[in-house]
Amino acid sequence: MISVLDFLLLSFLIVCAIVVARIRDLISAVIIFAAYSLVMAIVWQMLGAPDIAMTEAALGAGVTTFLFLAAISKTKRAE
Amino acid sequence: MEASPLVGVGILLLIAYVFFYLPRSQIRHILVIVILFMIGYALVVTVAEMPVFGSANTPAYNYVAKRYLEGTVAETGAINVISAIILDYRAFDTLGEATVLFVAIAAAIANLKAH
Amino acid sequence: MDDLVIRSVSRLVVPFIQLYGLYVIFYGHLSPGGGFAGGAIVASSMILYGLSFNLEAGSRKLGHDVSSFMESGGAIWYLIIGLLGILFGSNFLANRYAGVSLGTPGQLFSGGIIFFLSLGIGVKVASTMITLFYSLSGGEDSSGSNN
Repeated sequence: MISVLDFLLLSFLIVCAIVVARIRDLISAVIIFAAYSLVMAIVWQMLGAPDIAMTEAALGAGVTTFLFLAAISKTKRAE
Repeated sequence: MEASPLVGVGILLLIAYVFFYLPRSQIRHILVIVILFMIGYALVVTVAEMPVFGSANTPAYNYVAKRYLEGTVAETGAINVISAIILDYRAFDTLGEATVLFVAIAAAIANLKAH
Repeated sequence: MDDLVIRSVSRLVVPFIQLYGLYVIFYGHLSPGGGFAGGAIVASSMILYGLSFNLEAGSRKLGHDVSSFMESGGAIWYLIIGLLGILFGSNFLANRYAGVSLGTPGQLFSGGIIFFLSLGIGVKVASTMITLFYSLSGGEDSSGSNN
């Protein structure tokens, strides 16, 4: 059945997703989304998909965060 | 689950009634909460009907997966089965992905250079 | 952003990230990974370099012209490898049926065209991310319209 580490990671993912949708400050939302991507990479690794884990860690936590921040710096910070 | 199509049609009719005919009021608020609980119940029932993760008798694990797992090394010479699938068996699909990337970056550059 | 700590740490870390990305690209048919993952890792190393130094230093290492040329060249390289299958008398993107030598499974140069296709995908993904980075952050030909 589901282990303690699985339960912690998945509940962290759910909390992160709800907070990203609810928070008003966009830069905070981007940082929380980067944390979501890192934990998601760990979950991919535990599900047995190391290539998806590498792609998620490089794209989700690195490149996507920068692209969102660049887009925010060209527009407004508050929602 | 014989009743599941009936439940789905009922949920759809209720959603249509609430969003198109009912004025904004207290009863509409309560009905929206009821609809959300019904959709959540349907999703939980669907997940409970699914086979266990990683079990051998899931519908996705059929003769195609067996063929790939057994014949990859002899047919492509690659050890990594995922690489062999996306770059040999399904290489045309990967060409489509590369085209999607190309069109996306072309659109982004065309929009950003215009300003 | 011109900080001594960030510049020193990124100067130390960037070569190792690039080596790891190239390893993931080249060993895509032997170990987990492949063109997409390796290209993303190489691109994130170049983005780290361009962010920790300034954009001019980053574009001196890999200019906008070079990255957009590599971006088109990756797709054309993929198509040329595919057309070689027709040239050898089989289908588009054919590997074993086109008579390509598969080599010994487990060696670096094995798997026929998979190695070359993975290289093309890696180059294409990396240069796509780098081109997006430069054009979104207004690098190289910034005409001063950053409102």
